[in-house]
Amino acid sequence: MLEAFTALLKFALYAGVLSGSGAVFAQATQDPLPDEAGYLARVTRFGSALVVGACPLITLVLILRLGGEFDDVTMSAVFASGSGAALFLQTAGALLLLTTASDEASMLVRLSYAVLPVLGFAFSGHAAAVGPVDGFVAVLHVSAAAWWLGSLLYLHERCRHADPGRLGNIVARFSSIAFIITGGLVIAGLTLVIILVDFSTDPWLLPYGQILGAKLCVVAALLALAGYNRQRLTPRLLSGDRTAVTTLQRTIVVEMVLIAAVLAITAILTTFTSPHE
Amino acid sequence: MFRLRTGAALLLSLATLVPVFQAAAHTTLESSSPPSGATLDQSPPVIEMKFHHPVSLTSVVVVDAGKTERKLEFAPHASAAEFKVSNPQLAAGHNEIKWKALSQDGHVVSGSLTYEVGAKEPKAP
Repeated sequence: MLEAFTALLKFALYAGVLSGSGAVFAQATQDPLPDEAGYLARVTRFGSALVVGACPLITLVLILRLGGEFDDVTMSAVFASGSGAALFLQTAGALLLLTTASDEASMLVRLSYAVLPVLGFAFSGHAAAVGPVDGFVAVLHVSAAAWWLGSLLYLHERCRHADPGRLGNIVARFSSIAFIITGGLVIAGLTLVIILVDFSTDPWLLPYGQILGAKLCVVAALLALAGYNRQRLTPRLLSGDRTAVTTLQRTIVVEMVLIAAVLAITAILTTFTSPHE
Repeated sequence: MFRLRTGAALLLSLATLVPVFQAAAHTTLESSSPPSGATLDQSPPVIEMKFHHPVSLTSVVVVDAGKTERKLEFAPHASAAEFKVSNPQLAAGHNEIKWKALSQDGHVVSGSLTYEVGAKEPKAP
């Protein structure tokens, strides 16, 4: 029961980190107009609030799962560990983002705050347990995923409110950056698979390998949809086809649902299984 | 409304997937001395636990045949691959030693060791 609750809290944490930090990454790269930045600030606040709410609960449930003793041994195991460092970075970063979400004058400062929750993945998790370089690859992977989600949220909102000309500019800018960042996301993800999975022992027969396989299938569907958006929808949109806006809006919703599925599978993967079994 | 339905569907999917993976336990204890399942003449002076990877041990308790639970002291109180439980004072009969630890990848790992303490009655000639 506590493990199931942990998976649910991790899902909330991942969604919070990716949307909260991702909205800042999107704002730094998508160059939104001043009246468009308000939406991204709201997403940052929502995501950061989710992280601030999830982190203490994750800590509490972790202590309960370790025996429920609030003694020195348990406190030291929880807080003087990679998990403790990650939870501290994520909480601190989210709190800083909450206080500065709508401050337009300090993008560089907010960017440094947005990096903190993502940096937490360098200290806790399967990759971080292998070594610092592997943890850094996980940070790159999560950063790219955060940018993608933040940018999709921005794009979806603009589909509803921007005029076709402005939307075309936004989509063109998104597509050019997305090609590089999703490429980095895939390379970092595959690197993590190579680092974590022991291919000499038929990994697809183990729970970790099977759930990872399910995650890779959803990611493949997500990338296929992103490719369709880039190759088919973007040219239609740029040529002034108004029906492309509605189609784009729908495919972005499907992409976001698939991202949510990836986060849910990752929460299960990191809670119930381990590549180090 | 669509967002609410999507969110509810995702949560439901997560909840239905969870029981499937309940049995995927982590087995990180490499060995113990005395080995688990051993029959001992008397309580050992020390129980050594060796893990595959460093962990932070947080709890070691012994449950004796009378179902009485007692906390045991262990060392070190830090991340390590080997721990010692000194003078466990196991009672005569069946003893189960339950342990919990936090592994480096953030997983909670747990397990138990069992010992039978007390010389067996010699068989009648």
